Amino acid sequence: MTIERAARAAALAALAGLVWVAWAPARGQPRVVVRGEALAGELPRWTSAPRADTLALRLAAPPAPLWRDWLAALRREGTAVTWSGGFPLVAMERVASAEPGGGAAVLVAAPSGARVRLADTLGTIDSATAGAGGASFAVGPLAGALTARVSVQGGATAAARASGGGPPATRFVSVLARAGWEAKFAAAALEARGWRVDARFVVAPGLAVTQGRPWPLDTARHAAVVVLDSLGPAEAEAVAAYVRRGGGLVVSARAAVAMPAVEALAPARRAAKHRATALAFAPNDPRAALTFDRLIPGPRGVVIEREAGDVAVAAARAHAGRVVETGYDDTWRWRFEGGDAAVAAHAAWWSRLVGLAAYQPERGGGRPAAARLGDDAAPVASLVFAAGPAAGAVALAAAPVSRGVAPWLFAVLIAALLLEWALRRVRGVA
Amino acid sequence: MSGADARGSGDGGAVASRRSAVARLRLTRVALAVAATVAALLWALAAALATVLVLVVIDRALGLSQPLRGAAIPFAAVVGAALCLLVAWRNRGVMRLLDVALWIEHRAGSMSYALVTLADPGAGERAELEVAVAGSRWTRPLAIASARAVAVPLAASLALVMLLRALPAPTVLRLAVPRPGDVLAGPAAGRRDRLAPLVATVSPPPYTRLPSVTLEDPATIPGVEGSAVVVEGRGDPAGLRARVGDSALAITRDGDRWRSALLLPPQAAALRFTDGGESRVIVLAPFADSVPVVTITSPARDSVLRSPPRGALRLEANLHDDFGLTSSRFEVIVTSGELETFTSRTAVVGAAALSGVRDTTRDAVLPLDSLGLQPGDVLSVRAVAADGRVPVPDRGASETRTWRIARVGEYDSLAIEGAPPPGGDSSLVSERMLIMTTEALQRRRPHLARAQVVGESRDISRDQARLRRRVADIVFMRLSAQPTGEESEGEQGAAPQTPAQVLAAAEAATARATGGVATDFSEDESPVVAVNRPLLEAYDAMWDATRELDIGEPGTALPFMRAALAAIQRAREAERVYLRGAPPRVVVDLPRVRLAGDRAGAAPSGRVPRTAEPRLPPMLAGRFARDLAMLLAGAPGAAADSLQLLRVDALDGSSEFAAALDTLVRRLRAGGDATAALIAARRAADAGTDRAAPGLARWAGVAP
Amino acid sequence: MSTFVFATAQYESGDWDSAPLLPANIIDTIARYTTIDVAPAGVVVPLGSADLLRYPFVYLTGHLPVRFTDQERAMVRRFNDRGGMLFVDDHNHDVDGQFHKTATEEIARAVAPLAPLPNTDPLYSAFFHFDDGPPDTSQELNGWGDNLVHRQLLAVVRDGRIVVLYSNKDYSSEWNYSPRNKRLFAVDNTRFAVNIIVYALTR
Repeated sequence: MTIERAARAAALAALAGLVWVAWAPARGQPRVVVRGEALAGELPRWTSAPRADTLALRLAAPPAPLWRDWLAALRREGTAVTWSGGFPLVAMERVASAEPGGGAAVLVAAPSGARVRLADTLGTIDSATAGAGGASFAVGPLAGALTARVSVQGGATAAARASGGGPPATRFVSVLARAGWEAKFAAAALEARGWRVDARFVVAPGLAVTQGRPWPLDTARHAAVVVLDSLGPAEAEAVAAYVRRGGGLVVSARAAVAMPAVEALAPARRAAKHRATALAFAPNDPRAALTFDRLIPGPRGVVIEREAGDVAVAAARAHAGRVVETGYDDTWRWRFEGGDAAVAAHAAWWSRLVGLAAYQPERGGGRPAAARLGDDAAPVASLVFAAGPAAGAVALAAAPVSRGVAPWLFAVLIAALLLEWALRRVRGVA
Repeated sequence: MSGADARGSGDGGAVASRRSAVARLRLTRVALAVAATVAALLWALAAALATVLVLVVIDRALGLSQPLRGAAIPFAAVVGAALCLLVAWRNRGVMRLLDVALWIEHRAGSMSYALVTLADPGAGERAELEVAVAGSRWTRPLAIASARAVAVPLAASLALVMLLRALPAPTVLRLAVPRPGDVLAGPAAGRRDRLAPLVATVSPPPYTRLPSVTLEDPATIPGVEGSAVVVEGRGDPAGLRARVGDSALAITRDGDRWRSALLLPPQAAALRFTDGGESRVIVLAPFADSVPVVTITSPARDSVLRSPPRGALRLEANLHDDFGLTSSRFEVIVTSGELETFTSRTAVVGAAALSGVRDTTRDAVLPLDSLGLQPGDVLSVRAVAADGRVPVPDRGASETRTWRIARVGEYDSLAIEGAPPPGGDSSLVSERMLIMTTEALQRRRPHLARAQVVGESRDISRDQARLRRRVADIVFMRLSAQPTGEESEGEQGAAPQTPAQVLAAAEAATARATGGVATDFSEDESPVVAVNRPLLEAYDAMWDATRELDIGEPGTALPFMRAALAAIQRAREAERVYLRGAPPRVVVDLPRVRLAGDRAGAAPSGRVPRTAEPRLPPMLAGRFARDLAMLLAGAPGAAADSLQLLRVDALDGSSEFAAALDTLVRRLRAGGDATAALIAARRAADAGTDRAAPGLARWAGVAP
Repeated sequence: MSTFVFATAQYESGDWDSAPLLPANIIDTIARYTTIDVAPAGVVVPLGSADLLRYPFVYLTGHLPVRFTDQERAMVRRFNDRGGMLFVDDHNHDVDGQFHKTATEEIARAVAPLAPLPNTDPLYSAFFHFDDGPPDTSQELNGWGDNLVHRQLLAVVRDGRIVVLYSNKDYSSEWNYSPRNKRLFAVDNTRFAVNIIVYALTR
């Protein structure tokens, strides 16, 4: 009899337990805390049978894109997701160089003082300590995708990925100038570096030496235009329109000041002459031996090059295009009077100048880098987008509530009921 | 024979028999030793031959490298020697009499160990033992045993020799006499055995006296420019193609191989073999034969001499060449003249043939008296040497030593400021222009009306007359410092004077200037005539030209005009002082003349683009990036060929990168892990690039 | 400013200044026909001096044998390697003369051997059109020097561009006069110089 009562009590208790398991989460069950490394197993289970209101994540590193997307889907379905982690912020962008030799600039956003290591499938390319905002790299030939790994004191790391990208399509540069040494050797420098040059060198009124199709300017053909001497008002306006459409412009300060339409897009205004501070073209600072027009950058202007404190080259974005303004007029002297490597260095400088301004389709259009398959250029930002901003540290003290207890309660209930029924039967027989 | 005698004789006979038993034993020992030795040697030979056979089989299957093959024969010899020693050690018992006696006892039998006892040195005299041994013969067993010992290794050796002879000779020779180039007799490399392995034989030009070099499976063929290169591979040449740059090479059959011959070009180039869809690129990396270096040591410097030197001038020069000199000499040029007229004489002294020496000093003596140097002459001397380069030897020359012999009065003042040319210069130029104008009129004459011809001819006549008056002015001004009698105001002035009248006026002026005192002139000429003869001849000719032009006959005026021009030039040469120094500085009035010319017909042609410089490091890096992509895409063969072509361009300016590419290509061709080589090549491609900087750049590609 | 400065080479071994009026005449010609920014006076630059590299176009002439010193040879080589153009004219107008023989040898040693320049080269259409090649000079027509009329100039060409232009036609005599005398010509005989300079400045 006593056993019979106990069995009945157990059955009632099991029933009560089942009711509680069924109803308790709806009435504010505590969060389920999951470690980042367990995501691969937990998320599929959570998706089929949620066990709490909130999924709290403790992450040692940003999860892979697949899990981030999963978390975003869970959120949309009503699951609250919070996360915390001590890993550093990281974002990366690879900007392909427009120069025919290829290569790219890689910008890695990271906390100041963090160690940034850039690598591809072959191994480490370079590393640096992040300064204000992060670190910048110039890379040459790449093997496969790029990875930027950021590590901070304490050992936390985060990594961003970007695809390697192919070599840029070689496009044309239009060189417009009066016949002279600077124009001749600027064109020669660009051609030596693999640029395809259209040129127009004016020798007399109505007479010019031309090459290719330097005019009209077309962003479908010309990546950039180099203007070393002033143009007529109509042509200057056409250059400005080309820049506004996305073309690149490299213009001498002396020419820009004579063309109001172009000067309005220029990154700087021309100031007094900066006299050469060196007599010879030293390999480490060859342009110290050149005189140039000082530039005073405007609000949009970015200083590209300084010489003895004065700005010699500046750049600015102008609508969809870019303008690079140079105060130099006779860089050809560097090519001639410099050292043995001067010819190559002069060509490299001109190629870089045009590359800074040249129109690159990859840069335009506003498509985020992460849209490329396999890229993960901003993992932390993507995580915030998927799972919201980071919460405070999530403690592991809250007892996990598992739905796995329900079958046991049911089994206890059935067993208790059967026992009671059996005891009754036995009692009856006895 | 008494017992004692018998005993004595028996003893003596026993002694004799004993000696003979031991002697026989000793003889047997010698025979056994010889047999054992021969057997050991034959076993050694068999072992060595077997080792060689095994190695030949292994080489045939796997292809051993030349160093391993070179060690094969010594290894076989070591194996043979080891077996020889082993066999000898096992048969060492033949050296002990006791063992030999035992051996005989076992084979001859019936001696009941009498021979063994007799062999024991402590046995003493035992006649009965001798008797027991004396009747035994063991020659036959000895012979059989010896034959057995020798026969087996002999047969084995012969069999091995036959086996080795049955193999292809090149296969065996690869091991027996390994040498560079025998890789072609090695095992087949699979599908590409026409293109791998390859053997290149580089024979430098004979004049370099360098030995030929054979390279097995080279990725690069270095050598002196002009070396003969023969590339061989296995198989039939049908379907094979070979090119160097754009030039196709002939491929011929040589037995079971193909071969192609070429000369190393002056610059690095890619040698490409194509067999259907397969290809292979080998870099030709020539190095140039340097030009001889010649340094003249005597005379040591240039000089200006006050007067023509006499005596002899010692000439000396140091010569050097990388491969050898074949000839040398000193070249002399003596230039005489001034203004527009110069003559030169050349001479060679100290010419010598050199027998390929690399460094030497040559000297010679230049007899100055024989040169007949005069004031104003310029003597130039230099040393020249030639090497043996074919087909055209390189000639190196020293600096030139120049000796000037000063003109009279020149040496007194070396710092001479340029004086403006005398008036005769402009006369010369003007007369020349008049001649050209007249010639142009004469050419157009058939197409012009007579009246036009006369009109233009008279225009020229007026200019000619003006010029004639200026010549007359010069003649008078030189003696009287006064203008001439001929009017200089233009044709509206007084009638022009005849040449005789001008001459008379000049004579009168001379008499006034010299006070009537005669001056010594040759041929009884007056001073005016003597000093101004050329100008007067010009004046006379201009008179005649003017007359012809006035009647509209430019063709007949031309000879007079040319005669006038020649005379003016003689006058100028006679009187003008040649001055070295700063030429007259003429400043052009640019604003006045800007665009004043007639540009009719001007139509500048287009400019042709320059080609990119493929050897610039960034260009090489860009191509390397494309090859990397090819590698990652799983095309190592194509990437290796492309990298070889890249290496051709890198050889010229990026030697470190070229070396890294060479290593990378070898690893790719060998089929192993090339990651380390790839990383090294990329590092070399990026050498010198500042890659990393803290902070974010405000403009991509610009350091922050 | 990339002003064109007419430079005359001063070398050690010969009479480099044998055509002193030529630079002014050519400067005048350039100003007459083009808008090229040209300096109003020429300069003399020592061939062995680093100053040679300040003038990408250099004119060289003379009558006497030409023997470069090692320094001059090295500088000429560097000058051409950087992209400079050397214009050499035989003032003797004599292919058997020592100027021609020695100058061509020195050019071959310093740069490369000279080769005949086709009369279809872009030089002859760089500004004016000379369909028959280099214009003849009065020195040739008068039979002076080697008594030949040379139909072609010689040149060293690299990558399709002239780096050394060599003349046997005695333009040094043809153009060696004051620019004030141009008025006497029906056709300016210095027009070919415009082609040379325009070519140097644009190719």
